[in-house]
Parts: sequence; structure tokens; C-alpha cells
Amino acid sequence: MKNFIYSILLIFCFSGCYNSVKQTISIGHEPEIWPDYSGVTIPYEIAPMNFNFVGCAYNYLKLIVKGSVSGSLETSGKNIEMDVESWHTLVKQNKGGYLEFFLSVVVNGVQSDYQPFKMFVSNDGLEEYGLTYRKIAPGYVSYGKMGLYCRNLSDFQEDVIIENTLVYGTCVNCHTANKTNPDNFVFHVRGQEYGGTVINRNGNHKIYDTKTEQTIGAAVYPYWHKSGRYIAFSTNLTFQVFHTVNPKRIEVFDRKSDLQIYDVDNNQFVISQEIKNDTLLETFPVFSTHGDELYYCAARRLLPPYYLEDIKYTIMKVKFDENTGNTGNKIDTLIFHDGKSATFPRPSYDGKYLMYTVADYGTFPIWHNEADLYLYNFADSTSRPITEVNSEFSDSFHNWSENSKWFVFTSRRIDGLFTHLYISHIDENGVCSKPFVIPQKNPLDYYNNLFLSYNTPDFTKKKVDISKNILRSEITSTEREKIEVR
Amino acid sequence: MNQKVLKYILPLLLFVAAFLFWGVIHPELLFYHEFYQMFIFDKDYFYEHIALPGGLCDYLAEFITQFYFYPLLGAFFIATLYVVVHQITIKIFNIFEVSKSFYPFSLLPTLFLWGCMCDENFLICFVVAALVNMVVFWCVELVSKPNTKLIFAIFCGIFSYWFIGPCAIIIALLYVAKNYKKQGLKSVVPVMTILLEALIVSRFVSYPISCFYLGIDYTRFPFKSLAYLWFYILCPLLPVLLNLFKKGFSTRQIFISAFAIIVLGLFCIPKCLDSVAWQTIRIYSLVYKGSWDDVIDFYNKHLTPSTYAVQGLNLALAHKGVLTDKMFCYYQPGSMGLISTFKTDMFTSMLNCEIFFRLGAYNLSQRYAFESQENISNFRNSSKLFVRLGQTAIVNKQYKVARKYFIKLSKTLFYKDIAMNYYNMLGDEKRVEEYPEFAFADKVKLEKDGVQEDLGTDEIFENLIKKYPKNYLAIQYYQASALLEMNYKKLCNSLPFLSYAGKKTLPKHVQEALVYFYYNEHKSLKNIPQGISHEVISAFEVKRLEDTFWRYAIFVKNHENK
Repeated sequence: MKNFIYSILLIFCFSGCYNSVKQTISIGHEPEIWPDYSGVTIPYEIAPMNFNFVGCAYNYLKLIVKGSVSGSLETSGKNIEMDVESWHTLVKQNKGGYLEFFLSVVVNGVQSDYQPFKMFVSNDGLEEYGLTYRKIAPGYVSYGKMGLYCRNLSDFQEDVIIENTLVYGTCVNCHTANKTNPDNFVFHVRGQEYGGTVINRNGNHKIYDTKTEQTIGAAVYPYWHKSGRYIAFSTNLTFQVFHTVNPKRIEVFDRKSDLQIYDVDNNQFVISQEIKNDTLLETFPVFSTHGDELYYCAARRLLPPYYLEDIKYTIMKVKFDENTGNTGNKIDTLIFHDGKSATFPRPSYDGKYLMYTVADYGTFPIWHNEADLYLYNFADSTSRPITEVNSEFSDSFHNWSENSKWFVFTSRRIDGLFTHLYISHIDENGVCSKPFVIPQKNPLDYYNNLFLSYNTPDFTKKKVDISKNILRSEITSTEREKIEVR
Repeated sequence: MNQKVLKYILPLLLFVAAFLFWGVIHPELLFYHEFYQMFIFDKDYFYEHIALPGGLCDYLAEFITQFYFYPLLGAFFIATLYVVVHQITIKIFNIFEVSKSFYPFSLLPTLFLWGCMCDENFLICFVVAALVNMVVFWCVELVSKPNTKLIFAIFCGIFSYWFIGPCAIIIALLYVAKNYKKQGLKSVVPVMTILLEALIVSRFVSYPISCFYLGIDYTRFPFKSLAYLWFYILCPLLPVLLNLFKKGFSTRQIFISAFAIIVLGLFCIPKCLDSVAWQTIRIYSLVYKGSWDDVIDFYNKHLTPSTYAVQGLNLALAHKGVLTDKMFCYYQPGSMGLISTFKTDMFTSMLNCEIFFRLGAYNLSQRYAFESQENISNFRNSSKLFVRLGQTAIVNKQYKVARKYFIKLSKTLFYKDIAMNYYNMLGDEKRVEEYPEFAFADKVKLEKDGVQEDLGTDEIFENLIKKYPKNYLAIQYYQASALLEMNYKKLCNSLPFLSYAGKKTLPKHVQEALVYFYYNEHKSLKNIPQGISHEVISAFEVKRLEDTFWRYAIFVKNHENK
């Protein structure tokens, strides 16, 4: 027994010797960290911006975070895992200022003190609970496990809204809330046996069969009118083809598409004869901030033989009458990029901007490395690429926070294949900050082990609360609400 | 022979038989199971499992399944598991005070599970679950006080349900079978508790309700391969039924019953195999390993060819350089015998991935590896597919993507070395270029882009040949495709390719096809162009159709005429 105790004591002594710092040296540059959070602008509500040191192998790390206004935080260990509450306190104290991160790396008793790096704390809060998104493998035809999830951005909690394990063989997608408020929420369930569109309105939800005789198929891309009375949908006959040579893998395109406005109160589709045009492919409808216009993407519908590279979308606009649900007679071009395709229009909720994605061609820019985010300014009708945010890989789907100070977008900049979510701030001059990937408890571990892509992210004011049991029984029942067409 | 000898011989026979069955006779089934999973030593992997009912059992089962990487090692684990199940069955017989003369019947539960395992989509998770629950029941019965025993059984059922899955019902059913006489309806409480627990859990976990009763991880496909449910009846009913025969067997009857059960096992268990499935899996496993002679050998010995098996055979023949010399010695189902069009089943993508990889169409191989991965119906990862995805990522110079796959694989037991080998060459362009696999890939891989659906396999083969004229695999596939379609023009287009590959004579079936087409046009073989051997001409003249293109052509023509 004595020997055992002495052995334990010896082990502690040695481990102490092993961990103690014998020498400290200064390194004249910032540490090599992943994700690269140096210089990003963060909202004060954000979860701890944990990062990994990837400069070299090490024994442990020491981190001191100092606020430019006040406060500090310390942590040490094998990984940087800042305490959530202490972090929030520090960040709140330094709104409008910045945090300075002093990282020290201990290797075999030698401590290397790196130059500090900064994260700026915006005065603008996120004012959102978090994000909703889909996670699915960046695959071809088959899909494995996937689901819609809700992530609290103040910590690392991720909750399941619905996973396709609930009803085998189904696919779930296109979840959309009304201006980030999930009290009005829609998503699709697809599958050979059980399909439908779930519309949740003020806590009550139903499942609809959105196929009608007058439309070319089920409703696809949704967008709520600010009143909550209408949802603009597209209907798409979508196909995929697969490239035989790297770096491209997949092309997704529509052979036909149309738009319809769903009047939620009257359970009717309103089909605009002005927009409905068999020579055009119309898709991605969105309402303007004030709800008096409808924006959508349109491209010439080409008949075979044609090249996919010839399919180029333009962003159109048409008046929308909230009282009748009808669109106007005059359709105008809002945004046109010669030789390029503009998709995913998303107006900011303050009415100042419209963000969209530009790629060389096509309707599915996530598979295009050249896809970039653009910003259209309503004040002067100018567009610009958001160069401070774009990367050499696909930067694609995006959505605004309700206060229009932040936006989330999908990007493949980490490895070119798996899509991750980035958040950026936009200031009063329309300048965007360096984007940051959404924080995780141990980001390197998390993202290395994640073989799914994030899709269609959106902010959410609160946690999305839908009963799985009710959903399960409704999806597996054959009852679907039918929709009339007017 | 003393009946006590049976106590040692039966388990030994069981072990040896199981070991031989799984390790030597049907190692392909172990290959199949191991193919469709990836066990990693990672705490998050463990937490993911225990977050679901039956997760711990699934974790243990996957731990065992990883050893199928070496079939003999896997067989050892399975055989050991069977012996342990057998031994615990004996203990349960003792609890039920079954006459020792019925000892041979203790084999029946194990043999039943063995038969279930012959279904390639039945997972060993259930066997582990059954074993654990039988052990738990045995522990419960060690408690002597009835009320304490009942409470203990209830708690064991509750915990077992969460960690082991709905198979926990075995504890409850055995408990009822043993204790109903003494406790009456009270003995049914553990059953009700488990059923209630399943209902409660179903409110919080995202799976179909039936999964909470049938099990999430007992089978690869939900609601299929459900024969194992009979175990819930067999396990408790068997000792009860045997107990009805208080007299027991004589020594002679014991040996006869032992013999009969062994014979029953030997007869019934192989019948539980799906012959098309296991033969297809065997061929695929040999294709995966590149054992081309074994593929051909195996195909020759077994006569239930599936389209997938033919694809594997054709790939093997092509690798031996004799596809267009020998393909018509075997059944050919048309162009599908070369490459399938896409289907969302387990085999199509697996085989297409291999075929395209060997041909040099790496983007397509990558696609099918991805499809195979996503087709895994219980949402597992596959180590072998991750290796293939990593390799194709390296060929395509997507090193960051490759890194991700190899980092994950480095946490496995048997793929760690290969993963680290590839991982360490990432970022070192020179090392990648010099690595034989990637050096070859660089020569062979397609450069001219197209979309698969527009191109079709013909253009893919042509592009492969144009990129690397010595790609004899692609040349053979192109010619085989022409032969199977009976496309004379395409066949003629393919002839110059042979000289690129350094071939001086036309392959046998190509000669046969040229004779066939020439004769159809000219009605005689006079002045037939050079290059056709005398053997082929004589065989045509005497109508020796066996193992020739001509038999295939007649079959196709007859089929068209119908």
C-alpha cells in the first residue's frame, strides 16, 4: 500500500515537472489558429469563440482574453474551451470595443507567447436565438441521415427539429420562417411514400399536398410575405447530371419551373398569368421588405440540344398587391449580370439591400467554385461583389438577421466540398466584416468529424418547437390538405 | 460414451463448426458486414451510440464486427459468442430445472441465431443483445426473495431496454415463464414495464414507433429480416416445453437427439443463406481484393449468376486481359453485365465504384463510392468506402477533403496504417506523384469533361482510351460493350485501339463477331479480311457455338423475334 501511494505521488511530481514552464519566449507574430478568428467582428450574444492551435504539437495552451473596455478571462488546457458564462460577461462588457487574445503554447517546458490577435465586438447585437439549417451529405442521388436542426448561437446546443430517421426514406428541406420568427414556419417532407409540405402558423400546423393540376409539381422554394398571409413558392422540375472530370461533380438544373403565391388564409394558390411563361424558368421567389413587390429569378428555357452553361438567371421584380394576392402586369429587370447567373435574392429586412449569389451559370451555385455573394443597394441601384466576404470556393445561400445587421451564408472555403456556415456583420456603410464560421466547443474536432454539409441556413428568433410525435403520426398518415387554385 | 462427454464435445463441435462456417466457408458475409461499418475509438462515437435505446449493445456489436477485417479473427469472435450463448442457455435450463438429458436441446437457441445470421442484413447486435439479456435473467434468478426478485427484474428490464434495446423483453418473458406459477399476474409486470418504456422513449427519440419494439440496430434495413423475432418465443418456451417431459431421455436417446440436432443444424443453416446474395458478395469481396483468378474460379464453380456477379467476373476477365476472348464462355446479360445504370441498392454503387476506379474514371468512381456510402440504410460509415473516397480525392488533388477522410480513418483499428500512409503524403506533391497508384492514375484519368448522362459509357471508354491508349482495360470494355450490343460500327471503331495497346492479334470474340457480321452481309466467308484465325473460321463453318459470340448473338436474335 505504501509503495502504491509513493508511486502515485511520484507520478504527480513528474507530471508537475513535465507541465511546469522553464523558459518563456516571445513569438513576433500571431499564432496559427483554426478557425482563423483573428480580426472578425462578433455579436455580443455569440457562444465562446473557441479555436484550436495548429502551429505545432504542444503539451498545453494558455489563453488570456482581455477586453478593450474592461474584464478578462483565462483558460488553459489541451484545448481552448472558454467558460460560457464568463465569456458572455466579458463580451457584453466590451460591446463596441474588442477582445485581445493572448495565446501561449507550452512545448516541453518552453512557453511561446504569441502576438495577440483581436476580435471586434459589434455594438449591433444579433437579437436572434440562433440558426436553423439542414444537414445533409454533399451527395449525388442517394442520401443517408439528414435533418433540420436548430442551433442556439449563445452556446453550443443543437436541437433536432426533424430528422429523416423519424420516417424512413424521407427527405426534409426548405425550412423557412417568416422574418426569422418560427411561429410561421414551413418545410417540405419528400419521399416515395410520405410527402407533403408542413406549414406551421402561430403554433398550429398542417400538412399539405401542394401538387395541383394547374401546377407542374409540388411547391418547392418558399418565402413568407411579411404579413404572414402569403407564401411565395416556386415549382421546379429539377434534374441532376454528374461530371466525369474533377473539379466539378454535380450540375443541378430545372427543366421547367413556375411560381405561385399561396394564400394561407384562403388555402389557395394564386397563379400569375403574367409571370407564368413556358419559355422561361422562374424560381426563387421572395417578397420585398415592404411586401409590395415580388422578386424572382428567371432564365430562358432552352430546348435540347443545349449547353448547361447557357442557362443564366436574371433577378426580376413585379408589383404585388397584398390585399388581393395578385401580381402586377409589368415585370422589370432588377438585377442583370451579363454572362452570369444571379440567384437566391434575399432583401434585407430594413429595405436597404438585396443580397444574391452570382455564378457563371445555372441555378445551383453551391456546386460552382466561382459562386460569390453580391450586394445590391436599393438607394443607388448599384451592385457589388462582397469581396471582403467571398472566397475562392463557393459562397452561396444566405439569409439576414431580422435587424439586418448580420447575415449567415454557406461557404465551401474550408475544403471545397463540405459546406459550412459563416456569419458576417454589415455596417451602416454597407461594408461587411471578415466572416467567421459558427463556433463549436472544439471546432477542429467537430468539423473534422462532420461529413455533412449545412444547407439553407436562416436565423431564428427562438427555438423551433414542433412535436416530433405529432409530426410522425401526421407524416405517416395519408391525410393531406388539398389546395385550390384561383 | 458417457453423456457427460457431450458437455465438452457439443460446445467444441459448435465452436469448430461456427469457426469453419464463418471463417473458411463463408468469409464473404463477414466481409460484407465489415464493409458497411466503421468503428472508431472516439468518445463522441460512444456518446452518439448510447444516446439511443440499444446503443450500448450496438456499440459492442460494432466493436466485434471490426474484427471481421480478418475473417478468421471475426469467425473466432462469432464462434466464441455462440459457445457463450450455448453455455448461458444451459444455465437457464438449470434455472428451469430442465432434465439434464435434454442437454442437446440447449443448442437450439444458438443454432437459431446462427440461422438468422445467414441473412446478410441481420446484424450481430441482436445476438449480443440476446446473450446479455439471458445473462441478466440468470442474475435476476440468483435473487431468492420473490418481491425483491420482481423489483430487480423490473429495474433490469428498464436499464437493459435503454442499453441493450427491445431484446430486453427476453428477460421479462423468461421471468414470466419461470415465475408465473408462483407470482401469478405480478410476474407480467416486467413485460408491461418494458413495453411502456418503449412507448415513453418513442416520444423523445426520432425513429418510427415500431423501431422501439423491433430494435433500431438489429437489422440493416428497417422492418426487414425479422425472423429473429421468433427468438422471443423460442427462448422462454423451449425450457417450459422441455419441462413437460419430466421423465427425460435415456442415454441412447440423448445421443440420438444430439445427432439429430447437429444434422438439423448442418442441413438447415446453409438453407438460410440467400444463394444469389452470398455469391454476389463473394465475388465482390474478391473483386475488391483484386483476386482475379479467385473470381473466375469461384464463378466457374457456382451456377446462380446475378448481373452483379457477372460484372465482377467481367472485371476479373478484363484484368487478366481475356475479357474479349472469354466473356462468352459465361452467361452475359447484355450491357448490364459490364456496368449498371444507377439504382439505389447496395450492390450497384459498390460495383460501379470498383469498375470505374480500375478503369481510371475517378470522378465516377468517387460518385459511386459516395452513393454507396449514402445508401447504407442504417446510416453507418464505411471504412472501405472512406478509403476509396480519400484515394479519389487525392487523384483529384482535393487534399483537404482527402485529409478529412484519413483523419477519421486514423481512429480505426485496422485502417489506421493505410490512412496515415496516405495522410502523410498529402501536401507532398512529389510523393503523391511517385506513389504507384497515383502515378498510374495521373496517366489514365480523364481530362475531357462531360456529363455522365449525356456521354454514356461508350464515350467514357473512348475518352479513357484517348487519354491513355495503353489502357487495355478500357479498350476491352469498349469492345465488350460493342459485342454485347452487337454494334458492328462500334466494333470496327475499336479495332485501331488494339494496336495502341500493343496487341498484334484480334481477341477471339472480336474475330467471331467480325465473322458473324461479315457472313450476314456477304452470305459467305469468301475474301474475309485478314486477322481472322483458321480456328474461328472452322468453328463457324461447323457451327461450334459453345463459348462463342455466336451463341450469344442467336440468343439475342431469338429474344428480339419474340
